Amino acid sequence: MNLVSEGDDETLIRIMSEDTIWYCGQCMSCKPRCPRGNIPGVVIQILRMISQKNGYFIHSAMGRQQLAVKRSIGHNILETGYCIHPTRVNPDLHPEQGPVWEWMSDNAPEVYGRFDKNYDASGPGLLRRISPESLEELDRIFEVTGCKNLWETLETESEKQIDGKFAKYD
Amino acid sequence: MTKYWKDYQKEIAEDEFFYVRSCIRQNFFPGAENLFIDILRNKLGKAIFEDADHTTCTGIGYHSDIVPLETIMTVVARQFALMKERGYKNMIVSCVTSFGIYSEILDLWKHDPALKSKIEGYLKEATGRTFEEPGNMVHASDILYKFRQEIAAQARYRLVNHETGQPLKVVDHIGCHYAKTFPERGVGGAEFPQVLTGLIRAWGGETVDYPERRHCCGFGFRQYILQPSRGYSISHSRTKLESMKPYEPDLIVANCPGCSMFLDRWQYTLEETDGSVYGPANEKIPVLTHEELAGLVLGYDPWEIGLQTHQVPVEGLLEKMGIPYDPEKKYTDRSGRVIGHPEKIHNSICHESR
Amino acid sequence: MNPDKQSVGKRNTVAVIGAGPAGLSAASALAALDFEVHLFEKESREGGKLNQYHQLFPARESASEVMGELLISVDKENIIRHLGLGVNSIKPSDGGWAVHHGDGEPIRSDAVIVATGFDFFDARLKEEFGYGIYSRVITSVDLEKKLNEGRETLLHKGTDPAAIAFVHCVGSRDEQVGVSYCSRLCCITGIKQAIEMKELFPETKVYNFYIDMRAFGTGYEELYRKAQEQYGVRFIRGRVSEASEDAECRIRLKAEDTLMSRPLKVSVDWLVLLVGMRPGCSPVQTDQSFLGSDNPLTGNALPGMPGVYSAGCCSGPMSIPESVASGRSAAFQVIDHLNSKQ
Repeated sequence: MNLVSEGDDETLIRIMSEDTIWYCGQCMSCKPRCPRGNIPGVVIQILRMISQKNGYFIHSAMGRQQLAVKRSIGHNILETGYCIHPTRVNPDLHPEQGPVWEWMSDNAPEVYGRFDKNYDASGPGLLRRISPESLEELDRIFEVTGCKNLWETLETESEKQIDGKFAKYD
Repeated sequence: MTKYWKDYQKEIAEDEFFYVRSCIRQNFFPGAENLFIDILRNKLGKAIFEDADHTTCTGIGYHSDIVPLETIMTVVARQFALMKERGYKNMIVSCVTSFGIYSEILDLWKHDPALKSKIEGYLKEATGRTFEEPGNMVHASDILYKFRQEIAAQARYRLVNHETGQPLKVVDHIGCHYAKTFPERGVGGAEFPQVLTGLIRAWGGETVDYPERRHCCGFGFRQYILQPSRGYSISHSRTKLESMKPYEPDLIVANCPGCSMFLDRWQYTLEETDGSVYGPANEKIPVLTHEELAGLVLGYDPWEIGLQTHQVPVEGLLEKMGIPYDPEKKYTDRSGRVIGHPEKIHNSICHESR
Repeated sequence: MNPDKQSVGKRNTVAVIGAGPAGLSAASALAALDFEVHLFEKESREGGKLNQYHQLFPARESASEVMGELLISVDKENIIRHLGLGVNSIKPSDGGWAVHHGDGEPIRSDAVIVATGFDFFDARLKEEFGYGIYSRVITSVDLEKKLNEGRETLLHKGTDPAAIAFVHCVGSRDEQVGVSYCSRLCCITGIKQAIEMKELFPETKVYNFYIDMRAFGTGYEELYRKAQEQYGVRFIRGRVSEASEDAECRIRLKAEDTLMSRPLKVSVDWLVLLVGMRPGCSPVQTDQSFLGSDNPLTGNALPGMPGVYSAGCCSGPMSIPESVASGRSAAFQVIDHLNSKQ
């Protein structure tokens, strides 16, 4: 917080290039407790965004992982209209979800269909298929508000190596 | 007269609701939301509407830092636009992260009208739509809280051990984004939220106050999404589970879909890791969402409301409450045909053998 | 300094509202110089908050002995004590002030000293500490009472406490509860009480969680040093974020140790909240805020109320000696004011 209010850009850039800003879990438990009325969690959000927009994130291992977040959650959003979808949570990559998830994932139409006839169909209902028109609107929103630019930056910056390595701590 | 947050009540609308679904709740608790809708329509006689064109609020993307603030604001503005077009003023939000985001966005627009105008511009440009802020915006658990006595009046079962007559010991877990960001948006404020406590007590149970009650479940957004940092997520849930163990809870209920999912799944993973089990009598602790809790109390069939999608088996809890269930119908599809069984459920009391 | 009875006329009357240390000192000073003093006290006895204390910092004087001395000083025939009588308002009257109380005709006086004191911060507002919910969470004021009642009140089932923690700045320097100022005297209270705990229970671990250690007064820093060197009190620079109760009713704390740059969790048998000092109610204002002054650096005259002066904590957090000095100062300013009116 001090660094941010002091405007010590050089140190801030260093911090935004390290793992430091990526440890926070965004629970916002800091907000009701800070006696100065600060919200460290939100400041961290801002630093993370600056880090990504300016390419500082590629200098740390945790920063570079943002590309993976974009390609999973980000793509889910524009391709399905959901952040998470049963067809995109591969049990092999999520063994911690347990055997029940594996069963749900392997038998999705039947399992989900039990609770709603309209599963993955048009019209209201459980995990309905979101219409192409709505997905297009989402897409245009992402374009107009600069998210696509951010994603472009994440992709192109992630291509870069630093001194022949992909991460500072290779 | 001094007011304490514990006693804080917020305004919750009566009827005519516009419902927005939750990504995580639909994925991991597929029975829950339709159950909620059914309870509202058929048990409480309320009007609740779902617009097929609504999308994710993109909250998970926002909190994992790949969706900028203005993007999520415009997506949320689109949800409000749909609501306006359908003529609704009262919003019910299924997801707690979403609820936190709607609260945050409404607060930011209040303090910065220029920002709101900017978003109006973006929405218009991208979709041609215009929007209005909801008159009332609450979380789904707030609705059940508001009508808890009406539900109690129709209850077929109570949160009581039907053999001993003792109230069940229930751990209530409130999602961080429900009230920590804006205490005035949560019944009871940030430290001792009352939204689930109210339900539990109205339906006969006893709440458990354990040291790590206020601790985050550990979702951590990117920390769970990315495999290398998943340890963050599990270690916070473990802290909570270890802390609640001495109190021998019969049940955990959570209002955030992510929290419910983690407290349910991580018990499995922790047992796989080192054999740790946190419930009484060496069993795992069943985890329910608020609508599932209401559903059981109202007498809905456990499998019809989706309890088979939980990793921690619920049969022990059903038996405690005296709720009958048919093991044959657990893993069936809509027509009653058995779909297959989840493999290897370790160490859990599986009552299918009876 | 004796007012010439000829020049100020028949004995002037001064009303002193509040019989805490400041009010008692003001009354005593005025009476020594032949004024007629009407001393109002809304409680049934004099002393104000001094009645709640056990020993005073920094030299550990007995509060009841100091109380005794102050009482003797007002045992004069020209001090009329109105105990159990609060003052509702004061209104200008005939060049002086009419003091409206709850029992009959207002009393006219030539000048007024407002010494209505302060309130302790309501610790229930700091929800995360569980005051009023968990039985082993108490305030520093509660602890003074227990110290007066005896060591046994701090035992649990006959056993000595294994650990006690103090939290500084509860209800001070805190935007979350809307109190941004420092209450000045809580740090030294925490140091004193930590030592008192160590004296009663030498084996007990005592932790003081502070942000800054504000030991500014004469003898304060020395007491802080003594607490560390002689008594082994552990001072931890960092906030306590929450307190909760475990299955044995002990209090579990989550805190940060900023000197060691790490979080910490500790279980204690008593959590003592060092509560701040909040403005009290006074008859000269409608809201509850500390009284201001016409000339803050050099006097206590209330703005827009000629002949009315504040004394003691009603104008801000003060220690006992500061309140006593403030009372005497207000008395002098009254005399000066009345002299200049002649």
